[in-house]
Amino acid sequence: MLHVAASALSVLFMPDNFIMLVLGVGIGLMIGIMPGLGGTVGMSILLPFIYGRSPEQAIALLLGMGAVTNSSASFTAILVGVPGTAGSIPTIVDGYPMAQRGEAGRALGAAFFSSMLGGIFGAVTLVALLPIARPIVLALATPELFMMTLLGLAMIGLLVRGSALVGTLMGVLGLVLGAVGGAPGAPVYRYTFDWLYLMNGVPLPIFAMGIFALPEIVDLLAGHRAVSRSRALTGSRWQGIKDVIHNKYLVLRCAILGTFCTMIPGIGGPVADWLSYGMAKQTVKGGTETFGTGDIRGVIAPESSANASEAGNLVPTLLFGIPGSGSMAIFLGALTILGVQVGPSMLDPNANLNLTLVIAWTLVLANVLATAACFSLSGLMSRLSLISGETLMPFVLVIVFTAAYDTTRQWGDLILLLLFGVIGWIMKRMGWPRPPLLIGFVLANAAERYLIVASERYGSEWLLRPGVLAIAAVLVLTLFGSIFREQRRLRRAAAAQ
Amino acid sequence: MISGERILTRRSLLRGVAAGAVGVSSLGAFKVGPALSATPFYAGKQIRFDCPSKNGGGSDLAARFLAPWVSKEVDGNPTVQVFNAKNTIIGGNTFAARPADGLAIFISSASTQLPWLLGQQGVNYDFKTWHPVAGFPLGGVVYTSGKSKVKSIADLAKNPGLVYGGESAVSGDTTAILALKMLDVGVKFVMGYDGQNAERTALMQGELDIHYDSSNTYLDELKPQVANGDILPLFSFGFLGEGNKLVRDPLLPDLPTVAEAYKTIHGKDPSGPDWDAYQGLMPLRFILNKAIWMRNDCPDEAKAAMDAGFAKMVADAEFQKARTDQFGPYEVFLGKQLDDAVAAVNNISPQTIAYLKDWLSRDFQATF
Repeated sequence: MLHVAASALSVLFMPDNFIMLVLGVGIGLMIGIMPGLGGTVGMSILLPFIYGRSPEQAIALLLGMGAVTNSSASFTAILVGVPGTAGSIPTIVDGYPMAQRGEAGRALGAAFFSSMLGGIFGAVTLVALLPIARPIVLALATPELFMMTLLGLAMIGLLVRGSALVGTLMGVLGLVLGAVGGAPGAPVYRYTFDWLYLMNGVPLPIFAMGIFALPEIVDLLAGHRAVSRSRALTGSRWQGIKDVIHNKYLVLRCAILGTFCTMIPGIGGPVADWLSYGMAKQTVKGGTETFGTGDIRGVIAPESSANASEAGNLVPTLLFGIPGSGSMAIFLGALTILGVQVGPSMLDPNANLNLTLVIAWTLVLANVLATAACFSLSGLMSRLSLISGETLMPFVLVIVFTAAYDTTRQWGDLILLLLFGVIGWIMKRMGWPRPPLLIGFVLANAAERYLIVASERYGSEWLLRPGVLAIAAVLVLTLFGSIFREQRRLRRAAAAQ
Repeated sequence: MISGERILTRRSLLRGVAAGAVGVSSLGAFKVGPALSATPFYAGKQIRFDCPSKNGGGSDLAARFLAPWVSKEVDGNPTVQVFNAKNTIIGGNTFAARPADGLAIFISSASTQLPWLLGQQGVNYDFKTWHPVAGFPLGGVVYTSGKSKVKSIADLAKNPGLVYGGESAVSGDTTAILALKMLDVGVKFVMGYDGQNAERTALMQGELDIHYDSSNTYLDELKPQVANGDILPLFSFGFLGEGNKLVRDPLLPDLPTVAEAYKTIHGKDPSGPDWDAYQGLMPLRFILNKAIWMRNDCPDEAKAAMDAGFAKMVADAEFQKARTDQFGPYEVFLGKQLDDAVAAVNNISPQTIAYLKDWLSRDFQATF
């Protein structure tokens, strides 16, 4: 095995393949930094270029690109509060407040280093998991997937700071907004107000940019100030790396969560990142109080799971030929074009095992290269947080609006962006938490779809499936654990007075 | 959700897109070529190729495959750019609102035509006002999981309560669920799955027993699973032969059609409203599975140039080779043959449409 792994690595270092890898990583970094563009768009742009290339070259190019979009997305997420990809949204919650404190460099360093570790962990797990993944994937049918979405929704409770009622209401509002457009299961459209644009629902990039980015931009412009409230940058990127090493078990836990959640087709990367964030908030010391105010661990958690999820998505793709995400669907198509038949043969030393190892090494190398590139830029980039809003924000606004308009190229894109910008700004001013709104939105469709299918298929029997009961137990423990902890905190606070 | 953009196989389409891109770069035909003789209508013009599906969806990939060929074969070598509406009804409406200058063409799929035929809310387009240019046919296969108790068509009737899973009742699934309803073997329909991949996973898990795929996907991707017993093909949707009669799918000559399956189960030829509705949908579902359209009121020379371009394309051996990968080795429908198929769709009886609407809204909560 070691011998095969070494030879796969040497294949990847052959000039033809390595150039492709570097090219892929470069494109991936650029795509990641553009709000609204993600791995799926990157894959479809690159697809025509793989024709006539060897499978190794194609893998290096496509996966090199796909593996790193989440890395560079941290730049915009932390520095200006604009999500570069869907996976970088949780990073904003603590990364942006850090930039406001002048600690952009530290946050960036931690983000890049933890996403690299997550990516490498994912690649190793991919190779280790492929032989044993089949029963796991087959055990998680629709009812279990529904319970996973419920677990995701329970994260709302963990993420709320301040009034639990307001947080819950925001989550419910997110669920309602996520229900706009075509209903799953029945050919019915909801909340479209006879406006055709809404038949497709609200696009996630527009929603996220409106809720998170526009309010910050407005406040920066109105306040005549830069992102960083302190004039000097404190906390270097090296400090960020030290933070990651200090929190190595958190990185490990979140990488495991990211890989396992995305291994199941139907639970996407964004959901896994929020789960990681919520899990971290609940389990790290003092997390319930400091998360959301610029806690470095709130950056490390979602970043560790973001790049790990790329590897998780590959498991069902390579094992069953069932892609776990949009970009994997295109990657699978590319493999077919090149004559690679996925399935159990991906583990056969006489067939495609070497390709599987090339895939794993591509993920590892792409993550290392991307982190090196981002890290060397981060010193310079973090100075952006010192530039005054009036100078920087017009450029950011142009990028945000262009990215929004590119979503479907209809007027509706811009109208919705402004609408959600206003809603986000009001929420920010009122101190209502915005992450629950987003979690509700992201999970609305999946939760409804899985509930409908589970009850249509199984009646009420699905409630008694062992997998469902197991996840329900975790859910109940999580909820009661957080209530118990909150009460203890209140008692202590009362005693201290 | 009304999409059902899975009538063509994703992977064979991807392959076609990549092949098309290479073909074009070697031909250099994507940009405006030198204009010959008396300036053709499309010389130096740019065509908008409107497509109703999302990025990477069936119609999108088909349009991207065809775009360079349109540019190469249509007299005047126009530039062709694909525009993506990401939703089937929005896509149809977008095209309907384009000016009648002959510079816009449209690719439809069964999931664009069905909402129009049934008069679903939001549809502002009318295929009767459009001129058909070409039809790319495709059939389908209904199969069962190797895990289910069904080993033959006759077993279907002995095992009521088998579960069929699909995305939406008004989509590519409509034909399959209508066929199973007609067989009257007590199949239970569960709608709401998130597309083909989710359904195939569910089939492996044993959550579903019955599923359908296009004939092309079946031949391309599922044959290995048939060989090792994971999948058992039951019957094909059939195909439209001479005089609009249902015949065996030319891609699957060994597989019985749904009509033969009916006879095996019930001992007589199919008849009744389900069979009438099934036959009514056949031209739409098979011949016009993917079809190219222009507005009827655009200049005659534009329509003539486009028709001639597609005729030339179909005669091009290189295109035939590339599109066989893409759409399967079915014959491309043009001219009179195509007009007949379109007329058949336009002449579906109001009773049949009312019957379909009644069934879909009663059994699947569809609103019209």
